[in-house]
Amino acid sequence: MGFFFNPALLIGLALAAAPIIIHFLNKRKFEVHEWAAMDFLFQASIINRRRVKLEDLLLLLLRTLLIIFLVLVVARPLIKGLGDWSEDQRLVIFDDSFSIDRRTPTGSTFDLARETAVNQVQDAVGRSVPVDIRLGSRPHEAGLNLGPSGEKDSGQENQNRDQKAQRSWEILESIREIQPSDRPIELAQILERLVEEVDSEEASHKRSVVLVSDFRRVDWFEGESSQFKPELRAAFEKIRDKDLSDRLGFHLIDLGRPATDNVTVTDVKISSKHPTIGVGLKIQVEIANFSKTLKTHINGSIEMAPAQSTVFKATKRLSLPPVPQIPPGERVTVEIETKFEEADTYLVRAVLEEDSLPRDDESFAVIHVKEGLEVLLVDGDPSPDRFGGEADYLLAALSPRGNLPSGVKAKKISGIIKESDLDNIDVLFLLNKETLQGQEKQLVENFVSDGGGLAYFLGNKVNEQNYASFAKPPKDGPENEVLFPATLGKLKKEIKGVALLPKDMEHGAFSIFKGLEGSPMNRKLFQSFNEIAPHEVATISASYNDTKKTPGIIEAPYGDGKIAIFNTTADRDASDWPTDPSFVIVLQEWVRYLAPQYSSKRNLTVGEPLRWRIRPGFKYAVYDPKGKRHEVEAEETTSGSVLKELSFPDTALAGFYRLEESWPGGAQRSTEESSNKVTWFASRRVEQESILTPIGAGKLESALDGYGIRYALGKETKTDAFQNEQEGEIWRWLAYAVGGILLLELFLAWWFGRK
Amino acid sequence: MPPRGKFFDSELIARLTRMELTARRMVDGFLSGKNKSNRHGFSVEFVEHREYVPGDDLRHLDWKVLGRLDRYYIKRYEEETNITAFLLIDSSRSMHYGSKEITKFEAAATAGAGLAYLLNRQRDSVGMALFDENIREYFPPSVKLVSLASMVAKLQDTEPQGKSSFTDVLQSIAARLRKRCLFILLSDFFVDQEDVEAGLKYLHYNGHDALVLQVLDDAELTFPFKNNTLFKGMEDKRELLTEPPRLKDRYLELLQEFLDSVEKLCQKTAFDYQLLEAGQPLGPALTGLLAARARQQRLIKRGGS
Repeated sequence: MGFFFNPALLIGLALAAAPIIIHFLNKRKFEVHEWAAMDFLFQASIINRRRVKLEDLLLLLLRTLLIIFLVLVVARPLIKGLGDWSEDQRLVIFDDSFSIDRRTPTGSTFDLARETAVNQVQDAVGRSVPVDIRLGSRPHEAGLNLGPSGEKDSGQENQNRDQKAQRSWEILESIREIQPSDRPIELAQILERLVEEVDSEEASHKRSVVLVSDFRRVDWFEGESSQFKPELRAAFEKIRDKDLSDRLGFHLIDLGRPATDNVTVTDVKISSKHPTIGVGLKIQVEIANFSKTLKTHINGSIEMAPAQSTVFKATKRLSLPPVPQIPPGERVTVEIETKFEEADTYLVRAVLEEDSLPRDDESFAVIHVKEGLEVLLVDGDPSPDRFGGEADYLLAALSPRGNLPSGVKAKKISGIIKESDLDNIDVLFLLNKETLQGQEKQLVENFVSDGGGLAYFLGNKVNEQNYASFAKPPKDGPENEVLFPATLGKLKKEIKGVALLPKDMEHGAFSIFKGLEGSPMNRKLFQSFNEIAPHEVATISASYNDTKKTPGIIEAPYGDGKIAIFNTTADRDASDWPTDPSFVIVLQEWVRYLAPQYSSKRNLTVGEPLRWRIRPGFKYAVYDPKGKRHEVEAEETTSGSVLKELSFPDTALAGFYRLEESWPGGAQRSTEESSNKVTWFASRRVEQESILTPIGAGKLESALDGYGIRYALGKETKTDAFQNEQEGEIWRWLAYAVGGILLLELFLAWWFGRK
Repeated sequence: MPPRGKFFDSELIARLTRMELTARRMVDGFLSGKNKSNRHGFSVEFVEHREYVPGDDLRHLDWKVLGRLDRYYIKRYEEETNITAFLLIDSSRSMHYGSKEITKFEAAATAGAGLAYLLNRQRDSVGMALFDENIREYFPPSVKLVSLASMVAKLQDTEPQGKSSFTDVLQSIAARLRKRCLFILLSDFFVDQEDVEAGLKYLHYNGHDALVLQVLDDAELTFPFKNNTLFKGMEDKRELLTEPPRLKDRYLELLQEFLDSVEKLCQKTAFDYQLLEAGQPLGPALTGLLAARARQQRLIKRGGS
C-alpha cells in the first residue's frame, strides 16, 4: 500500500529546507555600523548567546515543521489503525478444502479454522454486524445458508436480542458441523461472485471479507512464479477497475504451517480397458512424494469390495509391493496383478500408511468386470447354409469355439432390431443390412450416442437411399449429427485384388500388428468395394492400395460412442478377408476399440458432476460416500434429442457414489426391467490439494500490492485485527497542527523579538 | 563678542552667560575674580569688622563707623580670585561616533567651548587639553581671549582617533598646573572603569574640583537598530554580527549600570556629573548643572557665615 493518497506531492518536502536556507541567507544580509560601546554589546551578546541560539533553533524547527506538515496535509498520509472504515456486513470465507485438514500434535488445522470462524461470527454478532459464511470449495452456493445474524438494533431491542441469540446459536452450530471437503478452494470464483455482489450494492455499503485459509502457494500462484493465477489476477483487476477497494476489506487469516512431509496416492487405474472375467489385469497405484525430503519404505495396500453392499466394505485386501524410496517431487507407480472370476462392479481403495494429511493417503476406483464384451451381429442377408449368411464368418471370428476366453461374447440376430436386443451390448455390427427403419433408427442412434460402438459392413443389400438418409447432413447442418460419416458412391471392382492397409499402425485397432514384418494386412484380398467419400468429421483408418487409395475403413465419433464404416462385406462376396487369419485378429481388436470403457466413465474427480444416461420412467437416487441419499432429476442433454441424462454435481467428497435406478410402479414392465439397478462411481481427490507449500506472507503482500486491495494479513485470529489494520487519513489533524504551529511561531517570534 | 567658530553655539552661550560658573570649592586663582580665595586680606569684598589694635593699617579703618559710633573698627575683606579651569576633552576614536548631525566629540567641543567662553567672561583663566591615551594638545590656562580662540580653532581641526586613557593624562596635566583647578571632563568614558575611577580619585585627593560631563549619542542611549547589523569597534578591530532587537534590553541594562557607576563615582568624589546627549540641545543640561552648582554655592556661603 502506498502510504499517501497523493505521494507525488511529497516532493514538496524539499521546501522544508527553505527556513534553514532563509536563515542562513539572512545571516549574510546585514548592515555595517561603526560602534563605540562595543564592550556592552559583547557583554550583552555573551549573556544572550545561548538563549538566542535556543530561540533561533526553536523558531527554525517550528518553521520547518510548518512546511513539512503543510506538505503532508496535501499529500494526505494514510496511517494504519486510524481508519474510520466500518463494516456493514461481514463475510467469512471458510477454506474447507482438504489440505486444511492437516494433523499436528496440537490438533488439526481444520479445528483451528473452525474455532477462528466461530470467533469471527461471535464478534460480528457482538458488533451487531450481519454475518454470512461461505465455504471456499463451493463458491456459487449460499454456503451454510446462514444469512445475516446481527440485525442493527432498532426499537424492539428485546425481541431482536432474542432473535439474534437464536440466530447466532444456529450459525455457531452450523459452523461446528462443517466437515472438510475434498474439493480445492475456488478463490477466483469466490472473488468473482463477491465483485458482482458488491458492484450491485449501494456504494456506501462496506463489506469485510474474512478468509480463513491455510494459504497454500498452489491456490494463489501460477506455477513456480510469484504471480497470481490468471483468473485470480482478473478478479483482483476487477476490484481495482470497478473501484471497489474502498467497499471491500479483506482480513486474511493465515492458519498455514510450514510445509510438512506428504506422500499421497495420486491415481488408481487398471491395465485393461475392458476387464473381463478370468483375464488377468494389473491394478496400478501411483504414489507421489510432495515432501521436500526423500521418503523411504512406503507401504500400502489395496482393498476391494463387491458392489452388492450399499457401502464400501472391503472383502479382499492385497498388499502393495513396498516402495523403497521416492525422491522429493517424484512419483512412483506400483502394481499388483489380479483376476476377477465373476462379472460384477468392484470397488477398489488404495491406501497408504497415514501421515500428517491422512485424507490424501487413499484413492478410489471402480472396476467394471464383464463376462466379455457383448457384441450383437445383425445379419442383413441371413442364410441357413454354413457360412452362407452375412454374419457367420464374423461370429466365428469373434467367438471361436473352445474354453479359452476371447473376452468377446457375440450373438447374431436378423431382421428388425428391438430395444431389448441392445441391452448390455457393447458393439453393434450391421452387416449388409438393407435399411434402418422406424424405431430401429432411434435405437441405433441412442445406442451409439450413449457410448456404444457401431460397425457397418456394406454389401449388395444395402439400400442406397436409406443409407443416404443417415449419411447426408441437413442443409448447412453439422455433419456430426448424422449417423454415417461417409457418402457412398458406385461399386468398384478390382480383378487382381488389392490390400487394405492401415493408415496408422498406432491406431488402437491395428497397433497389435505394429512392428511385424510381412503384416497379414498386406495381402491382396479385396476384389470389390464402393467408392466412398468421408465427411469432414470422419477419419480414414485404412485404405485400399488401389490407384485412388479408396478408403477402406472410415470412422467418426457420434455422441459418446464411435462408428466405423467397413467398405467391404463381412462374407466372401467382396473379398477373401473373412477367411484370412487377420480377419479374426483385426475384428476382435476393432470390437475392443469400439466398445465403451465403462470403468473410465465411472471414475470421476471431486467436483466433476456424476452423469448417467437414464431410462424413461425410472427414478434415480445417489448415495454419497457417507451414505446420504440425494434424489436426482433427469435433464435433456441435447436439444431435440429424446436422450436424457442425470447430473449429480455434488461430488465434493472423495469415495464411492452409488446411483440407484428404481421403477416407481404403475406402468407395465417386466420383472427384469423393473428391478432396481445399481451403478457405482468413484470420486478421487485432485492432487494439487496435496501440495502443502505455504505461499509466504511477504510474497502474498507483494502480489497484492499492485491492486490497491484493502487488506490485513496475519496469523492471529483476533477478531478486530482488520479494523486495527485499517488505514485512515490524518490530514485534518495535520491541518490543525499547521494552524497551531503557525500561531506558536508567530507568538514566539513576537516574544523573542520584543526582548 | 565670543570668538567665531562652529563650536560657539550662540544659543548655548546666551544661556550660559546668564549663569555663573563658580568653583564650589575654593580654589586658588591668580587674578581676582568671582571665586574666593582661602587667603583673607584686604580686598574688594567686605567680610567683617574688628576692633582696631595698634599696628593696624589705617587704610582699612572704617571711618563711617568711627563717625557714627566713635569707635575704631577695622574692615576685613575676603580676597576674590580667578578660577583656573581646565577643559579636558576626550578625542579618542569612540568620540567620533554620531548617529545624527553631530558626533560626540563635536557635542563635547561645543559644550567645552561654551563653558570656556563663560569662564573667560568671568575673567577666569581657562586651559584645555585634548587627549586620547596621551595628551594630544595642551593649552595652558589663560584669561586672554586670543587663547580661547586658539583652543576653539584647535577643536575644529581635531579628528578623534586612538584609544583614551584617564589616569595618566590627569596626573600629567595636574602636575603641569601645580595648583588646584576646576577640571571640566568631557568624555564618553568608554574606557576601563578602574582607569576612570583612579583618575577622578587622583583629582579629588589633590584638592581639585571637577565637572564630569559624560557625552553619549542618542543611538548609544536608545539602541534603535532593527535589522541584522555588523557592529565594528571604533577603537579596536572587534566585530559583532547580531540581531539588535535580541540584544537591546540587555545592552541597555548594561549601559545604565555603566552610567550609574560613573555618576556614583562622581558622587563619591564630590564632583558634579551631567550626562550630555549629542545631537540634543546642550543648553538645558549645562544651565541645569550650573544652576545646581549656584544653589550649592549659596548653601555653602550661608553655612560658612
